[in-house]
Amino acid sequence: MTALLVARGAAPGTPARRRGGEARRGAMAMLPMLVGYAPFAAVVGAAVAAQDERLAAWAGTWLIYGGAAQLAVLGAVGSGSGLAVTVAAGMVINARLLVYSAALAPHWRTERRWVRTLAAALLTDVTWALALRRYSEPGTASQRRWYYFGAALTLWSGWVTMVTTAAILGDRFEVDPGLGLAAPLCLLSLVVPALRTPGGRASAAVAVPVAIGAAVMAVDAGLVAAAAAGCVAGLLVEGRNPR
Amino acid sequence: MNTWLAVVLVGLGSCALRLAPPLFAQRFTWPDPVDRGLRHAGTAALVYLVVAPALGEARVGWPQAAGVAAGMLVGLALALRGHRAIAVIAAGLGGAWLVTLAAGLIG
Repeated sequence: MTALLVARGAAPGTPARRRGGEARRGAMAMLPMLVGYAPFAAVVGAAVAAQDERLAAWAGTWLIYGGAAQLAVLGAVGSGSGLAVTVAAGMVINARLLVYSAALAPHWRTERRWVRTLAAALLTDVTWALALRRYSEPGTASQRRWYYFGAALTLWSGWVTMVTTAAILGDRFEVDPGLGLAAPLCLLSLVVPALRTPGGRASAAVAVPVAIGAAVMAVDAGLVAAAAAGCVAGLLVEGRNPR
Repeated sequence: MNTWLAVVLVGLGSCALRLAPPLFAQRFTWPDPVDRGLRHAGTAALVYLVVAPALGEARVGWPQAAGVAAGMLVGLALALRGHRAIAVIAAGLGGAWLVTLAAGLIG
């Protein structure tokens, strides 16, 4: 009987069971984020449905894999902007990915090339924050890897499914405007752990006025400016308050 | 303009941004200040992504602005107390909805 059980699946405590447990943990950590991102996915899906070249617009869901950048590109295409302006609009928003990727690169340096490639391809705001949280906890490289992929693949599949569904439904449903706050609240829950250090609080404190200033002046590069200001402010404060 | 061309170019660019550090800089670790600076930059980017869309929601009118402020404060309070993300989202949306409704009634 025991032999049968073992043959059917991984025994408790085996590496395979631990990997599955970590992947499930990652997926479970990501599920609330998917709920938070659902209204935003509906907005992106509606923008896809409104395009003349719907297949191209939809392909951006997994090619660009960033809702804000995809919306910026589709908006620029819709308003008849030139190619350079359209590409710049998307790239400025996605420039933060370089920061996320560079921050996680040291954690991935012992991984095989295809693992690093896949992990980086699935990287976005939420996966970065969840990965950093997991990497600060005890665990082996294998456990962390499976947690990351559990979370990242859940987000990727969920995001593409939600945007595709919204694009197919088109204008047959309407998202309550108040639900637009769900995605910022989702990110808020992820950013709070970083506020426990003086440097983290400083970086967050400077990002708020930069965001307000960028909104008032309608500056597209606000995100890049916030990241740069946050980096400088965090390091300056940590320099004054060494650990 | 060709939508395909724009989407593919931004997609390739985004992919390059994601892949460059782990593929080409994997052999060394960042010096500590760079490592910390990257984390702070990432934190600031996340905060921007919290604030900028919230400001967009608040621009609709003053009841909505009051609702957004209340929702974000409720969410922040719960997140600081260590509540789960789903509770932060639900309570924040609920708080925003209630305050928007109340502000609308007040006029």
